[in-house]
Amino acid sequence: MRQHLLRVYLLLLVTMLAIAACGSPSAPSSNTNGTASTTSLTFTDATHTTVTLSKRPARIVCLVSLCEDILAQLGLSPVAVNDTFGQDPHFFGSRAKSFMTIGGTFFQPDVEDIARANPDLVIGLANVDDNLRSALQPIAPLYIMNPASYNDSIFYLKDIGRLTGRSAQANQAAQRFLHKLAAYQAKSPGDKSALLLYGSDVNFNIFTAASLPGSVLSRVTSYPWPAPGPGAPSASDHEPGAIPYSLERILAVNPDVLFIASVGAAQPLSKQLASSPVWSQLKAAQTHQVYEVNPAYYIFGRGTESLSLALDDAMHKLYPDIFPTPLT
Amino acid sequence: MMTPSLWQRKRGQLLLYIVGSMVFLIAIGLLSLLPGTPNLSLPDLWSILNGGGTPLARLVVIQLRLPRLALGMLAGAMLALSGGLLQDSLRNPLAGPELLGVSAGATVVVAAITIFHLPVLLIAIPWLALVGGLTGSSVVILTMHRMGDSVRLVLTGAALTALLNACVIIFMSLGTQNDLNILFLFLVGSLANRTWVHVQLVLPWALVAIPLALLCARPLNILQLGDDVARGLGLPVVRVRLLILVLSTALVAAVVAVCGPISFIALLAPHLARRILKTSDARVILPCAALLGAVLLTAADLFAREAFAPQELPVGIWTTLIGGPFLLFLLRHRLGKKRGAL
Amino acid sequence: MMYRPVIRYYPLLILLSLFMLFVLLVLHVAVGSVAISPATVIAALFNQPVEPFQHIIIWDLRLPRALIALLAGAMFGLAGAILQVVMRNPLAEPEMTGATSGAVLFAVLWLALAPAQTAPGPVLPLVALIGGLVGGALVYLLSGRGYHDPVRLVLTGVLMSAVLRSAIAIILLLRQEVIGTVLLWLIGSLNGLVWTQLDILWPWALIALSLGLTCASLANVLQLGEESATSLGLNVTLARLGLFGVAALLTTSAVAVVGGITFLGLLAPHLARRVVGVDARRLFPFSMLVGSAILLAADTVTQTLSQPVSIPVGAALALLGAPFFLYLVWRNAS
Repeated sequence: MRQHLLRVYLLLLVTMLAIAACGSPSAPSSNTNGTASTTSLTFTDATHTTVTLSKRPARIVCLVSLCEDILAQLGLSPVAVNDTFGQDPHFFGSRAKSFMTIGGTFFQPDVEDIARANPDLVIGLANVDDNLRSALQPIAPLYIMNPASYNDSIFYLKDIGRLTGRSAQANQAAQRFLHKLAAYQAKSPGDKSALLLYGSDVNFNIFTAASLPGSVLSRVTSYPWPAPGPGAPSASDHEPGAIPYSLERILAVNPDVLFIASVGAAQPLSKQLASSPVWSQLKAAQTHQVYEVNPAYYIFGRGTESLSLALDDAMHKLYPDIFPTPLT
Repeated sequence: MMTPSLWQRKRGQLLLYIVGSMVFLIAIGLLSLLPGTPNLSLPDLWSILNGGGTPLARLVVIQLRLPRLALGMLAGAMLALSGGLLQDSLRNPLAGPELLGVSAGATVVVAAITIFHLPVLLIAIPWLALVGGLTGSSVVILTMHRMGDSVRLVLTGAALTALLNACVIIFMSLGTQNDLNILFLFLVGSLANRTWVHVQLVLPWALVAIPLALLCARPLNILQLGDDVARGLGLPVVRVRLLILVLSTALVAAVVAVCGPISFIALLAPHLARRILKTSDARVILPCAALLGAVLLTAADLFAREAFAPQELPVGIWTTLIGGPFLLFLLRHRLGKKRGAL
Repeated sequence: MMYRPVIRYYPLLILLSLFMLFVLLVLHVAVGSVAISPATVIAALFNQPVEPFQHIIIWDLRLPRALIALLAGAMFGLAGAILQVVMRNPLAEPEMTGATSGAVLFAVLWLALAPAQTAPGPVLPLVALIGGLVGGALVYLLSGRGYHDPVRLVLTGVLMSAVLRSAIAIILLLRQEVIGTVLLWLIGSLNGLVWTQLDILWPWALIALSLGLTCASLANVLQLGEESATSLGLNVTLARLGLFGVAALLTTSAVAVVGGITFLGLLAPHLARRVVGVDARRLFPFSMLVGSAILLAADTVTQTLSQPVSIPVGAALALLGAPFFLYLVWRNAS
């Protein structure tokens, strides 16, 4: 009886697994390389995966704000998004409320919703959406972005512009940003040091000069926060992003201006810092140059327009006499 | 229990130990005040403590390093006492707040407050953590009819801790990308950037709980003789055990509320103390373990601060990484074939 | 601890359970965040024409996910049952083998140290697999060959998991960008798992599950107690080693794909034991079925709750399993 039962189990197991194995899909491959003019529809994303699209992407699903920034610059609209970033009037405004929403969390977007949106291209963020690649295979190609500096943001802008046939708009937007950056750089005295940080007064991270917002700020003012030393990844690898940092060193460097991103805190970080006996000793705190900034522009946006808005905001706060209004 | 002549002999050893650890503690304390930005030397330190030195150095030493040192010593002592109380009252060498779900319970409460930004007064947080810790431990303790059964204790505690950690991770996954990084720091237990405010938060708890814990030494000694003998000697066993549990949880809750869950000091310090002093007398072990815990945590924090400077790795990582295997090493001989031989 | 089997006629029980499992499978495929009518589901399953995105959702998303849940649930269930026999303790769970922490540690190391040119893709589960086996071996060896002593094994397992997790924490803190994915993996999630992952899972499932089932009679002898077993000619230490290894293999291969849903390994054997008793030849297969059923049911629930907030299935299991676990411990104590 026992052996008989065992055989039955194994048989059932094998049957189930056979169904599983046979059920592998004949997915409509989006990697065909048939027509002659496909060279302009090939891209290599941040995970070094090369994909060739079969036609110009018109329906794009955005899983990261950078995508919305880029599409807004190109004059396109995403078919679905997973955040409210686009509702900012600088991007899509109230139009964004009609975009379809991808459910799930930021780290686990709902793949079924993505399928329902019937996209031609899905754009996601490195280290968050890359393991969706196999799930998205039958649905749409995936473009993973990993902007480590503003040059990467420009690259992605131009690349998406190329793929959607909007290179002209992409180049214009890129030029706008670079001109603005150069203009600020030229006129900025560069004598004030700044620091961008987020978190709480006890648990906080700072953005080093090797991070995305840091790469912009360090061009236009003094930003003495080098990337972490040996043993840590280089800037060309993954985005170092923000790191926990020694408060003592911050005190020693004593930046002139503090930019703080309170991400949904009950009490704004600037208030927390003001009541701390250590932070209140900073030059920035004593000269009332601690500013709350919009994390959407400085941190989460990652695109050229977001960085442009952050730049306007930062320069106005750093040098209000020289830049009373944003440069065009 | 010790005979009078043994006590005489041991007294010398005990005195040596206490003096030794105090010296060690002061040495480590001084040592931890020196490195950092700016690096100081002993004469610099001396002048600062006397009111001189540059304003920056004074600020750093008095507002950052000193409170961190004080917090480390207090927390280390409290954790060690908590572990000692639990181990002796449950007659179980594996009883520790991190393995019983006490730390996890307190962590869940504090994590919820932090992540959802609940409007709770800073002073109230340790109390809420206490409630969390008690809930965690009560699950384990109330199911323990056989006190000496280590396996059941550890297993139940481990399962409960896994459960509570799952809750914390759920909370964390509801956040944005950057939130997660910050919250993760909290989850591993850290002394970084704590100031006198945090020391003030912990101090009342320390001032009340530490003496109470030391007073528990006699009942603990009696409990070690076995439940029946203890009852025969007139000790209300269940009530005493419950009170000790509450006290132990209070010690841990205050630390977790301020520093997050720092593991393995509570488990390790009493064992080390027993090893070094070769006795199980709680009157001796408790204060010695407290001193040892203070030394261990301070040393670990110094390492955490300077090992990867200017980046800080939280002390909780190091205590687990080093403490875990060390504990295993210590206990390997005590875990014989017979289950009862613990 | 002897339980009286609730249902005496075992083959009928198995058939009923298989039918239930099938129902759950269909339910899982039918239900999801995108509402698809049952008629459409059945039509799609029989390759009738439906909307392309519906076809994709059913065939390419839900079906493989359901099958993965089925297999992984069975693996965790069996691993838990085996461990509870080896430890002779109803509270043992697969996390104790150190396989979960080892798997995640290796995976994190790979993510952190691998050259940027290699896409994580299919290599990651294999790395995790190796890591899990190393973790299991480490626990085993460090318990000082004390696998004849459950106390030592348990303690080593718990401590080793803690140590490995702090190693993981160090790496995560130095490479903060991967915290999100790693944490979700630690807790276990079936999101985004499709045929690719199933293809990785099922060979290991086949091997490990068969191994585990054939060990059933061995486990029975072990349950008699050390002295009796030895007098019956069984090399107890070797038997324990073998069983522990099989449990570690099951856990590791499942964790490599779905993450650390090890709480299942605690619940499923318990439920199974209440129904069929302690005879391993019945307990092991039934524990597999119960494990599959629980994971399928839990994942179905999490699939439907993707708005406004979705939680990974491992978290849902932990939350749902909590009251049951507490009840269990309380019952075991009295």
